[in-house]
Amino acid sequence: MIIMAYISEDIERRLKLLGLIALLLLAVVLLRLGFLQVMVGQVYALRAEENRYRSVPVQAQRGLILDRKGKILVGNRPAVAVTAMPSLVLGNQATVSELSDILNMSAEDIQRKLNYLDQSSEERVILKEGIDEKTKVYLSERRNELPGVSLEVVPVRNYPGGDLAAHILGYAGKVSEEDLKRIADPQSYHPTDEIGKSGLERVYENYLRGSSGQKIMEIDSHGRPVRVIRITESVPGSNIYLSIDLDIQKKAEEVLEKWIYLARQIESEDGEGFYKATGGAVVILDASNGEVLAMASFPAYDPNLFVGGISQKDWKYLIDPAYYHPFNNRAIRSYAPASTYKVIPAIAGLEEGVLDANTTFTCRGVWRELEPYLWHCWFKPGHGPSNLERALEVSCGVFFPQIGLELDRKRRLGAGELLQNYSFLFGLGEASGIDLPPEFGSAGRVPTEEWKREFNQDNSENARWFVGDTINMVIGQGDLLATPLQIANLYLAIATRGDLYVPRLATKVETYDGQLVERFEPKIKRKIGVKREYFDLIERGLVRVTQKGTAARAFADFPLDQIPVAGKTGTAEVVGRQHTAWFASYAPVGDPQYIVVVMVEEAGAGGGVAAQASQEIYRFLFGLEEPQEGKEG
Amino acid sequence: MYETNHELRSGLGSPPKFSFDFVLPLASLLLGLYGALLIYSATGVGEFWLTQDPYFYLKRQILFLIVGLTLFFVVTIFNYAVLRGVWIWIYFLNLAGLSLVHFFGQEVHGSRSWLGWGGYGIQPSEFGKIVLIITLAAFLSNRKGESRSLKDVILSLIHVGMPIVLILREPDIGMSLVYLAILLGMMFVAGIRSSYLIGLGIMGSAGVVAMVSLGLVKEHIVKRLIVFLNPAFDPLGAGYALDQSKIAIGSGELWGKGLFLGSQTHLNFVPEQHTDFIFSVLGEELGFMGALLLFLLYGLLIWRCLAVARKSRDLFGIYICVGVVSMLVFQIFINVGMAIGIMPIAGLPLPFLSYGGSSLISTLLGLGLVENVYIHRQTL
Repeated sequence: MIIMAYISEDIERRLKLLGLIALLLLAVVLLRLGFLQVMVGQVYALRAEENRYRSVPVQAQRGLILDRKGKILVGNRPAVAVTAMPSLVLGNQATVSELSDILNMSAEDIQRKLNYLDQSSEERVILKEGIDEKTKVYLSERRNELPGVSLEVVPVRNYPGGDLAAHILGYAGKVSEEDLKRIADPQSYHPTDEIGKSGLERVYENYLRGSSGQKIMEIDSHGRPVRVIRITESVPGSNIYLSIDLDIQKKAEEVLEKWIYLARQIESEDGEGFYKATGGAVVILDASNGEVLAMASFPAYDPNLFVGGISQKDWKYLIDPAYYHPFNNRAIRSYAPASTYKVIPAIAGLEEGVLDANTTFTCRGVWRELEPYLWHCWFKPGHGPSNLERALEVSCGVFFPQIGLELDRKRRLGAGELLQNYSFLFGLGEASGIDLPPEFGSAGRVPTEEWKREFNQDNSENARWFVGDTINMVIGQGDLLATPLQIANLYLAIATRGDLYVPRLATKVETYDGQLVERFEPKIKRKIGVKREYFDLIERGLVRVTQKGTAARAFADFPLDQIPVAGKTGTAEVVGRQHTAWFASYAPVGDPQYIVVVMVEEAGAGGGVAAQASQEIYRFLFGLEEPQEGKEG
Repeated sequence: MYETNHELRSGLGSPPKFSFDFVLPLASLLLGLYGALLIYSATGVGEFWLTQDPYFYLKRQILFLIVGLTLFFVVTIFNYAVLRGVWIWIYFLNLAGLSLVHFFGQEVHGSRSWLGWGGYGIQPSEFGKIVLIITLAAFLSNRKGESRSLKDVILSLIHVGMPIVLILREPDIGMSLVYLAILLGMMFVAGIRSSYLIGLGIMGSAGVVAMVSLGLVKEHIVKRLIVFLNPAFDPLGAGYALDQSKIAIGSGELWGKGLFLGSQTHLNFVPEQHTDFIFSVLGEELGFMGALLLFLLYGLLIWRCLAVARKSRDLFGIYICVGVVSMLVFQIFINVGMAIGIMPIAGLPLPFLSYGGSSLISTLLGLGLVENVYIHRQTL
């Protein structure tokens, strides 16, 4: 009895204890819950929100680039694009190879594009835009077999003119590591963003890009968007108006291309077949304010190829040396300016009292002042006695070396590097300041004693400045280099009697809805204090060039009596290459409106294709009839 | 010679002619409906139902609840005392049932613990819990004198060990732990010496360590344990569920985000949210107050079970009640503890809340037995 009663109490006690343990366990859980939910609940609430939403940038439409009349040079267009999510496609060999077949892209191209984004990204990459109807239907039907691939309408950059003005406009593309390294605010770019890679697209990137918006999306645990919670609209980029005239640009390119092809049919003077005419450039400036009306470079490329990323095939083709480097903007690359430069020694000589309008030298075909070194005039029989006007007219190869010798004598007497100083004065040897990304050699080169010393520091024999260097420079050869744009600027300075402009392509920036952001007024870098009469004198020489001088043949049918053209041919000798043809000019003399500079690589004498092309450009500019075909070439 | 103290007690009190505990079925009904509501939230609201029919899981759970409640009443009809005499048969039937899955079972999540036909499946180990409660209670109460000798302990261990071996072979570690909890609870009330208890604990721990080190435990289970010990481990793998569950529950704060409004739930961040992680739905949508309500209902049930035990006339009845209480408390503690990161992820259902017929019905069967003990306590 007693024992049993004891057991009974014992069990009772243990039942109570069991209840207590149960209570304790549940209390522990509840306490923990209270901590989790009540004490630090807000932290978790925040994390739940982060879990739930993902913000995806809404790309801003890039601004337009328009010509001076408001014609669109660069725009945007909607395109049906094949997009892919890297996380789902990259590791899927079957999908990649199928896409490669359908889209006619190599698997490497696809993989390269997918690698724009990191693998974990939930965003999509454009694989190809502008697909045809058949591909579209095929892809829609195969949607379920191709996970991560979809069709979307996306705005893409559009260059309606194709390769028109490609070197000026440049192109935009997906931002790359290198891009991020060169810009000031890399953190403001998202991997799927576009960025201006070259040309004006690059220079005016900050205006063109606009500001991207944000799309807050609710996503599920697989990162699939469930619905859009909020959209902060993007602000389209600003529009850039250029001084370029689409029609003139078009004509300049047309003419340049035409004369390059024609040059390739001309037998070269070296007797080794035809001229290669590997490329060329045209620069047309507005003589009244220095604005760039056209800037053409040949060969060109179509920036549309870069939309959505260029294919390996296209890229290989474009960088093939056989295609003569279409990315180079030859208008701002440097070449030996040859005789187009002779106006500088002329001005220097006049200003420094080395010669006057009547100074005459006699040309017998060869200049022997520095024997045993000889300088041959291009005209072997010799020009006979010439004053400055005539020397310019015939581009005498004896007259100018003689001026050079006089200038060099002054140099040796301590007057300073006169030729160089005048070159610098007219903007040679320094970047023109145009609103384009600098190219290799876009500053040109004015060789000085100091430059030569540094340049040849390992070659002491040649580190000294020789008189011969001056003579070479005087005829626009030797170490002297200038860009077609610099030469155009030089002739603009002559035409304007001393205004050296900073050439500019953009004239104003407007917001997408037409508010003026910035206006770029024509800017004069400096007023060159050369006596007006000297300019007049030189101009008279230049006028004779087209009338009866080295460019007379090209301007034979041109109504020079109505529209006098002042110009200068140039034929640069380049080691190992055919001559570079130059023609620098402006018209009409008396009331100059246009500066036209044409440069064609490996195309013979400047009086040939370069002058011919210039002549044809003037016809267009002044609304003259085209000459009969037979007289060209 | 008294068999138990209850015979002694029966002479002292005079129980009513017929009595029925209404709290047990009512609390069960409320809990069942609470669970159904949360299951509906987890599976039928928003765009993320798992099947085409948003009410699929809700309808099935309601059906299970009706079946379970019906069975609750069915098992109160006979006198539970009859089971005491035939426990050995039931015991072997149970082992047979648990063996079936090894021949005909379907593998789900790496465990072969289901028998299925025609879209429905039963989990013998769920029902085996209840059967074990009966057989172990019968076995312990049949031992003459004090059920506290070493022999009793060893025999009890064998009693529970055989089904556990079968369950471990599925493998279903969580469920085998429930069996152990039932054993532990009953032996505690039966009055096992604390030294045996400690010895059992050491042996159990050693067993677990040995199993893990010998590679007998599947990798995902080891991973869960590691995650429990170090939640930062592999956050998108094994730690992911725990992390997301904690975010869900924590973000519910005091009052919850509102029924059907949990973003963690409806955007599918928490895996298994209608089964093992159902508590995360409750925590997120109904907050701490919702959890408090749940625990009040659980507390009510546990309190009633213990009250029935105290009023019971014999050890068999007491042990049944104790078994059911142990089962409930252990599962609640492990499941909710897992969802809030104080217990490892064991894959145990939360009584009444987790979706699943076997779990719900077996829980109601167990409570039905408790009711039976209450009803028939005076007939001894």
